[in-house]
Amino acid sequence: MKISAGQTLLFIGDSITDAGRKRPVGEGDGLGGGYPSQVNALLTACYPERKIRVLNTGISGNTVKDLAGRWQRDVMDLKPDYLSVMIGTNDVWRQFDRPKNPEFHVLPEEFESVYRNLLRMTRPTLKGLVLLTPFLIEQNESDAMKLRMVEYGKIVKKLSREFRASFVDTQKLYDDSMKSVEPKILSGDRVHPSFVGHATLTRGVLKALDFRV
Amino acid sequence: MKIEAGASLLFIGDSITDSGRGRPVGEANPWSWGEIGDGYVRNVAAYLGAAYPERKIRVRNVGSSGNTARDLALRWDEDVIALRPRWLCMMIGINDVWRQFDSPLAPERTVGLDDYKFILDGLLRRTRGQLDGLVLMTPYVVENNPADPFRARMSQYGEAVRSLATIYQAEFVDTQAAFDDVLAHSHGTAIAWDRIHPGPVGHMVLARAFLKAIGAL
Repeated sequence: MKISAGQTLLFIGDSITDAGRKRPVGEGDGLGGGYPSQVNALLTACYPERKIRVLNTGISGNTVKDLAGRWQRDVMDLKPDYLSVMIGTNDVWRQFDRPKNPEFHVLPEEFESVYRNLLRMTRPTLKGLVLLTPFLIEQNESDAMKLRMVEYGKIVKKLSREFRASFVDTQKLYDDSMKSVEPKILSGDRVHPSFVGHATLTRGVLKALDFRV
Repeated sequence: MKIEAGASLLFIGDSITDSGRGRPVGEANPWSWGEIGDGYVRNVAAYLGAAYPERKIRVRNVGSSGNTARDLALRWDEDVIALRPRWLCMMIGINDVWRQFDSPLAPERTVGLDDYKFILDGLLRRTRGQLDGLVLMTPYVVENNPADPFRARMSQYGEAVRSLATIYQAEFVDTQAAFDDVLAHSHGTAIAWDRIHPGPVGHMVLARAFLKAIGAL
């Protein structure tokens, strides 16, 4: 397992990461009801001697531009050793649920350049970086919103190579699950995962950290 | 317009109909329009009041969130028969199908197609004679892809409603077709975040389809 004793792991992202965490920084019982809390529980249960500190600064509704606006306070100032980022869902979703509001849309070019700037600034300060793709829990491969989400996932993959990050293809994990599980078991609205859906993300993060239960 | 002056119109269904109505019976009053809920029933009541003020049609709402056809049967005497409506509008079936997909390990929470038909047929047979008019609305899924399994199953329940409408001489409202007209121009997520519970636009789609069916538009 990559994370050493005494190190800090920080999660940042949107509502899926937020999951009701405490403000200003989620930690311990205040990590929220999502995958950061599950990762923390497993790290503590399986590696109690390492005393790894897990923090969560996900915020509902955030796009990569929102992350940029609070990056100094919510990432740099917290000086994490490991950083996990999952962003892009709202960047895409607003293009479909608020089609008349281009000011809420973050198009691929801007998504990539804003994301790259954040990583360029941060990567040298980190021991390790985990990048998770956004996803849509939808079986129809030709759904317009899913196609768009996959496009953003490819950008995340590209950035992962550029910045030597552990890459988590969450879309692939969900696509595999949906072969045997009803999509509605994983998410009621195709975006926000159920407890089972969060466990899928948890497994993805743990695998990226070479974690063995 | 088919609903006569002085008639009462009762809506029954699930959360789409409920939309936060007052208990035990949702009915708008001057100091609290919210009692009728904030969904398509309110739009219908507002439009009938605005366009047909002289008919003084009483609109009431007994939709209940989460209900299936089986749940309607359990409260039918109290919530339909006892209220003596002259017109009845029913939209049910979404949860009957939805539970098959989100709770597949709990079959007792679902209502299969044969049970669905049997239960609704029994309710309508008992009630139709007391009514001047009946409106049956199909369940729907706000989903662009007709091959989506959830939507495809829902369409089977919609077809069952179509048959019942013929048998019981009801005005038939194909809500799926009404949503499809809008979905031709937008992704479903813009109309209903979870593909079921609509925002104001979707509730207006339902209200418009209902009003067309009774000849009010």
